[in-house]
Amino acid sequence: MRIIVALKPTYDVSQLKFDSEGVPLLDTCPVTLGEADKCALEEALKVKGSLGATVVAVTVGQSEAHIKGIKDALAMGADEGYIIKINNAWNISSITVANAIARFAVVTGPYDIVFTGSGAGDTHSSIIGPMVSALLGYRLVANADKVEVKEQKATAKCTMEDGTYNYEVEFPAVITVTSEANEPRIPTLKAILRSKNMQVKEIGPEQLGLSVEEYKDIKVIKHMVERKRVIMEASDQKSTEESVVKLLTFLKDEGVI
Amino acid sequence: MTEQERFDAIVVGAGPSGLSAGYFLAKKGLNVAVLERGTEVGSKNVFGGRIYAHVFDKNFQGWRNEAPVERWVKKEKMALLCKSGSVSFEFEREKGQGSFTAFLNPFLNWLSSLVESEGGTVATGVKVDSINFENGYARGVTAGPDKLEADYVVIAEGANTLLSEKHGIKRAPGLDETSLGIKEVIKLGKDTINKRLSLEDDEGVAQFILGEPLQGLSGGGFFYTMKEYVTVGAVVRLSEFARKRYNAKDLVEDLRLSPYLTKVLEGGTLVEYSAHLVPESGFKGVLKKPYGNGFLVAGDAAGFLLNTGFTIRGVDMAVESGRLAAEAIAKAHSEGGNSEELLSSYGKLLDESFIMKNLRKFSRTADFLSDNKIYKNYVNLACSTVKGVFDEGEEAKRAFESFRKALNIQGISFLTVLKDAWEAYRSI
Amino acid sequence: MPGRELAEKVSGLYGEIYYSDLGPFDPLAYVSALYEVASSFSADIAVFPCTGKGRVLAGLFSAKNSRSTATDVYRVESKKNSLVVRRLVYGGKAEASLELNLPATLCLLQGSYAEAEANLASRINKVSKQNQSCRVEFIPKKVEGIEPDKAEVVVVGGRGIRTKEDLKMIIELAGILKGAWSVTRPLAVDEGWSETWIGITGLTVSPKLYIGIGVSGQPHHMMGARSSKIVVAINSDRNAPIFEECDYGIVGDLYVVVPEMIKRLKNVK
Repeated sequence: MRIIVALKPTYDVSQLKFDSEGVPLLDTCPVTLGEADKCALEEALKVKGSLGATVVAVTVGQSEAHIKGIKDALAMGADEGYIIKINNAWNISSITVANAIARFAVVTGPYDIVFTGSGAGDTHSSIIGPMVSALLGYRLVANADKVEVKEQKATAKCTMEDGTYNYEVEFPAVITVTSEANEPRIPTLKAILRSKNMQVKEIGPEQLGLSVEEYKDIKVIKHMVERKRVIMEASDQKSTEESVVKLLTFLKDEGVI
Repeated sequence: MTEQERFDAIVVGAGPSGLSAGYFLAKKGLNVAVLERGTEVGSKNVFGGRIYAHVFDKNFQGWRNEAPVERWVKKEKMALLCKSGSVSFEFEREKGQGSFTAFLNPFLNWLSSLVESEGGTVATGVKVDSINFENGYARGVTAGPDKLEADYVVIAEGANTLLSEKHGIKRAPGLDETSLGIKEVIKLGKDTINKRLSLEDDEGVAQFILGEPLQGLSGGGFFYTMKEYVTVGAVVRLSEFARKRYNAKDLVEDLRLSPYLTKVLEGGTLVEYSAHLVPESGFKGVLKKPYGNGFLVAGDAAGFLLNTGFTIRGVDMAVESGRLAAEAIAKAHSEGGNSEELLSSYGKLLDESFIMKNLRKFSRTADFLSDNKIYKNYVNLACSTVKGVFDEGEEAKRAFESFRKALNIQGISFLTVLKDAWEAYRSI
Repeated sequence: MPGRELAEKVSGLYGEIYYSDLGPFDPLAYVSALYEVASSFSADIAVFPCTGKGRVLAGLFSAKNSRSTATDVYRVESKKNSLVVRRLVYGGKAEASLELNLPATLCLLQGSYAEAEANLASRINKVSKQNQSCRVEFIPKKVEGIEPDKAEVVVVGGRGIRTKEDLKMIIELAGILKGAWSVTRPLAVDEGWSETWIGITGLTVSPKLYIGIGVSGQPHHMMGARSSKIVVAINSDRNAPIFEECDYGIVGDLYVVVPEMIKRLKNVK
């Protein structure tokens, strides 16, 4: 079985700061593989362990973080790792990313499964997996909380807004995995040392016949929700009573209770 | 056992000392792996921001063109902050000498790339659980399910000496022998920094702060300029936090908001907060014998850190001790053994190095600096004295007159001052 | 709900309404129905909701039918041959404004716009059944009380709630306020105390009143509640990010404050 795992390094948004003009300070924000992406890789590695599979990790972009992400994937146990060399990968359109992965699958394929995270921690559009499925004509399972891969097909449990869906799909398929799906393995020392001798392979957009589309004039600033920020204290009996009475009065004045 | 599971030397910890050891070992042709428990090199390190250059000038050819230096320290400042004002001193030197500021992470990444360019391996995300001893000799390490073999183990685990303590190489330091270093990184922008502090692009300020915002705790504050950022922080005895139930985070905030710094920092954005243990028992906290059968200890783990009262020096000592550890291992390796006796050249090399020379010179400092008096009374004394000289209304006062008046206010006897001054003279 | 019934429910809101009885959500079957509709006329803009299924369909649809796509959109301005949209990024901490060429596909955040008046003359069309791409079994979620995404008041419990038993306090408060209750993701996913949660991977709500109790205000949670009219926070940690984006906040122990609120509200009623 041959499996692609599409990975994206993402900003740890809980640590993102902004300067006084509201410009995000991305250069001081840690970037790592997203949790859901790591779970996607773990699912692929589980298949490798149970049924035997070649696991190919790929990312779109060539920054330090992208290279590090692929190295981490190799340390976890991927058999091959690729970066698709595109500059300024944070600013390219979703369809370019999806196209890059789909073309990569065609050029280096065929594959049985494309695993990817159900969403990246920073943008969380959750549309790359579905796009890749449409572009490749593969079947799709999205937002899988639990995956089981057999020889010819996979079953998955997916939580959507209206309930739980249990799917059974045949291959080839794109399966997007949530961060609930599993506990990604922590690479062992020996696995890390082994991966040190593995190469992060590079593939250019021209080798994939890919045209890169960047967003023009994208402006990102801190999102300010207009809020009143009236903060009260409840440190003892008296201040608790006062604060609660005040709060309820405010809410009545607002007409919301 | 495959090649990947056997090394000539394993270094535990990819901080300044570990990477330095790794680099010099690899350079001498030894097969070396540096293992770091953090996800990135240096991710468990915190330091103020200043590094002394001499050790690099001597041992790292061409480093000035490659290393990620932020600014060269041109202005040394010292400020004593009191409620009524502040007293400050400034010293200016030619730039490109003495010391520079840097962010430790890129700096260690640079060191790490040197290790790898010499054929060494640096592996992150690896927590070493124990050193494997066989017949009293260190023979490698265990990390999770894996064991690695090596003839030499360099323990460069930093201030948090869990491994050394586990194997009885070092006892756990007491609260009063450990300080907490806390630091904030604030983005101000290059132009603002240059304008507010009268600096050129690559010139920097290093500042030592004592007094009011630190509320009489045993410890000092610091302020360094990076290219686009400044760092503000303090190093305070751990026992003080326990004694005064003080919140470390509040302390740096108080420092940042003190009238002395608030103007400089205006409009800045806090981008990072970090805290880190610093061993500070001075000379008496240094490992007497930082080596044994098959192992050596380098950097903070061995207590190679110096608080002179005005500056804290760690990185240069760590890098040098890593280099000397590599020296000693290479020598033992060529002699075909890893016994304590063969590795004892490390002790001699350290003894002759600036590391031990400085630590001996400042051997009394740690005790002197742990005395609370200097942090509160004498800062106020200095402020009152200087204030007296400059603004006592109609009647002009002589300096000594102001000093005596200040003594009265602070309730310190002249004799105590003389005694402490003598102690200070001998210690710092 | 059968397709026909649903189509009639939204009659008046749209000129042309298409429906099909495709059974439970089979992504490829659903999108091929959309392809069929889209091929009958050339649409400039396709809009989907920012829900799990909405995002899946938007991705599938746009890959074939338009090159420009944006999710988490809350404002749209149309230009001659393009759209300028504002969307949330970085877990709702930042917003990006970008220009999309037409045709474009959007996922619109719930609560971004007021509901339209239902006064159009609608024509209802049926789309033929599509091929199944997989086997699907659907288990609808059980909702206890009012559904959070339809409620005017939503009371949410976060990490500050210590036990499942303590959730009763949240449920009681929600009941008094005639609202719905929910939790943050850790309480639903890690603890299993609820089937649903509020946040980017769960439900998006836009009530008149949101009360976060023991909720720290992580971006991924707040993004699911950002279009609430009034946000109230009760948390013992004054540095919790939720205090940055609330209208009214009480710094204090929720185990003292919430019972006090319940007591006062009961006395009034």
